[in-house]
Amino acid sequence: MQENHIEVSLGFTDEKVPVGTHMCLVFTKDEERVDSLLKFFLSGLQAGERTSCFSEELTEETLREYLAQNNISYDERKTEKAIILAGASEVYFESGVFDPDRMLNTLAAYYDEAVQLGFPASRLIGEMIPEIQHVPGGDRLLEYESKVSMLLRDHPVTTVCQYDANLFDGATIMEVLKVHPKMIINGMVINNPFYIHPKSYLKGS
Amino acid sequence: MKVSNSESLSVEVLGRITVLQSMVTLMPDKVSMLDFVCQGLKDITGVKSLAYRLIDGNPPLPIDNVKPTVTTQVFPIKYNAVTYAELNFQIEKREVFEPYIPFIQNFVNMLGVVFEGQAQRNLNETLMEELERRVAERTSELQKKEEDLRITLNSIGDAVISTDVGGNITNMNPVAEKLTGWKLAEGIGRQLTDVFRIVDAATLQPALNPVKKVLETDEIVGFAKHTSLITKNGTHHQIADSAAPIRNIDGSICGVVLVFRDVTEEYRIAEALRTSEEKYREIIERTGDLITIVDGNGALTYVNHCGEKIFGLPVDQCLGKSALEWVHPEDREKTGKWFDDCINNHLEQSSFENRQINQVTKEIFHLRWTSSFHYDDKGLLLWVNGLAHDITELKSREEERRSHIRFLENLEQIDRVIKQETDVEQMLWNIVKTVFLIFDCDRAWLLYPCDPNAPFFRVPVEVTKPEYPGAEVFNVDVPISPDQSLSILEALQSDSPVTYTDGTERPVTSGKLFGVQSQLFMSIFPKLGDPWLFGMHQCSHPRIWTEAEKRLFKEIGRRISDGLSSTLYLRELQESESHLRTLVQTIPDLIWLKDPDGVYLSCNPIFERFFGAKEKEIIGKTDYQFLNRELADFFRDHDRKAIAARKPTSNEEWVTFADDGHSALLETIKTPMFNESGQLIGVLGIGRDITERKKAEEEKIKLEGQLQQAQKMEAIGQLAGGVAHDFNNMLGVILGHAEMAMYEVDPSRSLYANLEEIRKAATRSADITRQLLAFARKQTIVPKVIDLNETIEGMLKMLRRLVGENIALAWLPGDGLWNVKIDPSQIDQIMANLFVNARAAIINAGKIIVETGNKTFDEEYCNVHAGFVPGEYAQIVVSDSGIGIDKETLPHIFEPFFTTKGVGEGTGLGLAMVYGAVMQNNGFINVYSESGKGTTFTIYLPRHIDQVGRVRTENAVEPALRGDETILLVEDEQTVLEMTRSMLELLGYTVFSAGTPREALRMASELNGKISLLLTDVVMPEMNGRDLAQNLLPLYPYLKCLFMSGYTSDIIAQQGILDEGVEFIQKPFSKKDLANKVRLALENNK
Repeated sequence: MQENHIEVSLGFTDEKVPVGTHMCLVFTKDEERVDSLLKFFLSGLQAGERTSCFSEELTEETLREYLAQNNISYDERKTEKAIILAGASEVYFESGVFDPDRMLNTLAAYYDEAVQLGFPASRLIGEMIPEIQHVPGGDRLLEYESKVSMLLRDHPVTTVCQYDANLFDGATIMEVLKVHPKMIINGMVINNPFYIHPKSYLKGS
Repeated sequence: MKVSNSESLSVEVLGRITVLQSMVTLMPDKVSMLDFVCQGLKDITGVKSLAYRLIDGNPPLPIDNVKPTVTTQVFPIKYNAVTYAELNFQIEKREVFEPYIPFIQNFVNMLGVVFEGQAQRNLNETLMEELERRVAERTSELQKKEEDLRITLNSIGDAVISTDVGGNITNMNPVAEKLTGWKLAEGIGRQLTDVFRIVDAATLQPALNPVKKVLETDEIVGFAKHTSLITKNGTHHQIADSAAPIRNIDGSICGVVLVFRDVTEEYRIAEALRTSEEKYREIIERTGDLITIVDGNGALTYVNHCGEKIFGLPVDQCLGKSALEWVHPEDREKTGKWFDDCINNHLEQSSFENRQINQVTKEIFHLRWTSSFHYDDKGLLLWVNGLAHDITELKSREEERRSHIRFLENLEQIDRVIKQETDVEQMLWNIVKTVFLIFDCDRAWLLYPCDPNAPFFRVPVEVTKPEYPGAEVFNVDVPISPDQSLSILEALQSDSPVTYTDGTERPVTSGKLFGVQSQLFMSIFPKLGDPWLFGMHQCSHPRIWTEAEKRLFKEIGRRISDGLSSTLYLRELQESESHLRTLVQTIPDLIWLKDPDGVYLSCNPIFERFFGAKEKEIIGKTDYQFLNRELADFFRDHDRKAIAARKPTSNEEWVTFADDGHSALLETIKTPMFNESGQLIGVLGIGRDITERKKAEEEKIKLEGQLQQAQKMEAIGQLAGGVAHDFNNMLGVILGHAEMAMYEVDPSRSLYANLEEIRKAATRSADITRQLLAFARKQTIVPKVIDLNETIEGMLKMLRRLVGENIALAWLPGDGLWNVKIDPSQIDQIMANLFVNARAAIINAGKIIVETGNKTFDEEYCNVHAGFVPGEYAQIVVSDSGIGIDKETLPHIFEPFFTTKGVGEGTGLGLAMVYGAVMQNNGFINVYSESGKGTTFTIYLPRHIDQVGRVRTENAVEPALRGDETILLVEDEQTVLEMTRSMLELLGYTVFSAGTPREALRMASELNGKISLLLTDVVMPEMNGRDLAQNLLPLYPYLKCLFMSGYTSDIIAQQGILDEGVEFIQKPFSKKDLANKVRLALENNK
């Protein structure tokens, strides 16, 4: 097990978090989603981290413009492989199936490559889309999230999972809380009191 | 999550509750909130279950009164008096649950506030939405109304200007802008009189201000009719308009609205109408068409000037009369009906045609009416305008055209009837029937002969209406009465049809049975036979035959004449053709006709057999499509020779009939045919089968030759015999006297030696004389019954010595050989001479085979084999492999002193002696030889039957074996081919015969597997029998073969032509031999 003492800024909270923290952000307004996403991106790049985003909405053009306003060249960073921007469904449902193991491998490979490329740290922000509940393998979402928490110990990618409370029902949101060690509420990163350790959670489920 | 004790909660639990409280407001609705809360509280409290229930009632349920139990506790979520939901905890251990109760209570209170706030927000949002919706609806309504008003105002056809009470313009629509020339923006605020300047159209004096007048009268006002509006650019428009006050809700006037329109065009139209009416009136009076007006009662109220021309009355006398007054009587009813139908159907316009009669000239006018009907509001007829165009001339031309068409149609009908029928009687009946229908007469007939001097006539064809029968005289000889004789005479003398009816020069005859009221008849003159009389009767009424009818009748008569001529000619031609065809069909010769290009035009059945095809299959084709190229070239060449010679040329050729494969010798005469202008039109061919005739001729020549030969031999024999006999006697005298003289002379004397030479010469001469006597069958013989095998067996040693060592001798005695009765010394003579002959034929080394056997010849066989006599024979066959005898030599070999040897090498009496010996014993000899291929002599000696008649007759009475297989027979000798074919067919076989191996190969290919046996000659010009059989193997792998030859099988085998063991029959053979061999070949190979 690897202890992560390096702390990174999320960009949209005051607190810094240890690198490799797995967090969830439950939001109801789209501006909140976009704001947190862009700021997370910006702060990561400013810190020289490898930064990725899985989003259905965010376009390259929007990101390029936003980064340019902050004196960062999107294309340059992309060439350096510091930026990965992909559609959420494209990433999660490759071949129309949600495969947690494939996703975990992808995440691990993402980290390993970042290390090889010399990035000091890696981060990822991804919005979860409700369609996942209707694709084959979608019922393993929480298993995946729980395993992510375990994976990040050895592959410390600072990860923010965005859930829209308007699109997921309350019971699911409560389950989501149980598989994220930290949660972001009202712009604050707090320890999640509902969090269940993956070993217990996976055993129980 | 467990709590540490029942009194207080852990920090972690409190944290969770805090998170729950913080996050619950993120949920978008009550359901999501309650889902989230229940899931969280259940985890926090560790209860058995936690459910919620949404309460959507007003007034709220009395949920406060629900008392907790040990295992259950319900927490209502409410705010003030409204309960929104309840949480229902199923508790396992109450003491564990107890510490959470205050926190849960606080939490649900908070939820109550949240739900209330949410409810209020929802209510506010709903109210706000409703308010906004209503405002939007109202705004939209008002905008629509305003828009409708604007559109209405802009769309209205009239110009509209509104003013305030001060006469200032407040609005004007586009029409008003257009009419006044002022734009709305320019006009608003101006005084009406600036924009709306009006004057009296006639006087151009300013008209009264309409606003002023409305305000004064407080009423709607109209303007003077002749008001002109002066536009902004000064032009004048005739307008019609009105002005009305605009009132407030309280009824007070707040303005004036003017509505006006441009009536300049209406004025112009009215003026134009007036002018037009005047023009039309003038046109009506000048038109060449009749124009009438009829009132509702059908009386004429107006007639233009044409009425006088058509009705024949002054116009004023026409008025008041019925419109039907001068209509042609035949048209009156239909005219009245048309008129009534138009009215009943309320037609406004209709066209019609009828005829009017001029009352003065009685001239008939054909009119085409175009009438318009006018009704009042109740549908009652007011008046009818009628325009009638005179189409009399058009009708006349039309009638003429129709009449002509009818004429042509009727003639075409008659032509069709004539063309469709070749039978004369039927054609005439059809024509008369058609005439009967065309003319709608009571009788139509043909009478024959049309001869005033004939004692009788017949009516062979007659068609009548049932009520006017004429059949009493149908096809019965009727005496010609004087009246009829005169009528016939008149018809014969007249160029046109003759009519008898009332009013004509000759009245019709009347009678109960055959009375007529009108008749029309004419004579017709077919080119064959006597004239006919063609006629019609009208019995029902005196009929006036129109000129058109007479013309048609005459034309029909002419066509009957032509048709009759043609049909009679055709019949004659058909009969002639039929006779000719019968002749051609039945004649036993092949007859055919080709065009100059060699294409067949016709042929007879015999010819069909030659090609193996029907005439219809042959016509249009050439020889090349039926025959091999060589033969087709030959025929074509013959055709060309005949064409070039321009006269018949004859030829003889062997052909094979395709239908049954038989061959025949045809004598063909090709005759070129030319038309009247000398142009070649074809070649007629006649082929006669002269096979039998030729055979008979050949047979005759052969028989004559044989007869001559026999006569010659006989003469020579008699001569030789007579001379030899006398000479023998003389020799006896010489010899006797010589011997006697020798007794008296001392042998030492030279005279003795002389006498000895005389005796030797006489003795040698006696030998020659004896041979001559043998040939002349006058040698003294002592016949006795012998077994030839034994006799020949005894000679073999001597014979072997005779032929020498280089020549092999084979002896093949036949089993069960019949006895013969002959002087054994003659067998010695025969065998010795044949061996001497064979030895001479073999150069260096060779082989001689001697065979014996039995042979039976029947009448049938002997008929086709000259020299053979029916009966049973024992045969001796001597074959050699020598040089053979050529065809020129063969006929002479038995003549005495005929020899091919050099002088001194032979006497030429050897074969002559053989011949004489055989003949002396009633036998006969057959020689088969070809140059270079050896010679076979076969000697037939009659079977000897002992006194009790015990002969082995089993073979003789045994019926020949039969069969039904198919045999391919190949033989280059035509007579043998025919004879063998006949034998096989009598035995029941199907035979395909070929004269050459090549022809046999072609046949075999065409027969495609049908052949069971190949019966072939061995030695043939193109290829030998074995090679032919080999060539057939690909087509017939299992073909059975029987070879035949004049040589013996051993000779054939020796020459390498045939393999050992093949089936073989030696020629000549009897039918029975052939039957046995064929069956053996067919059976053995199975």
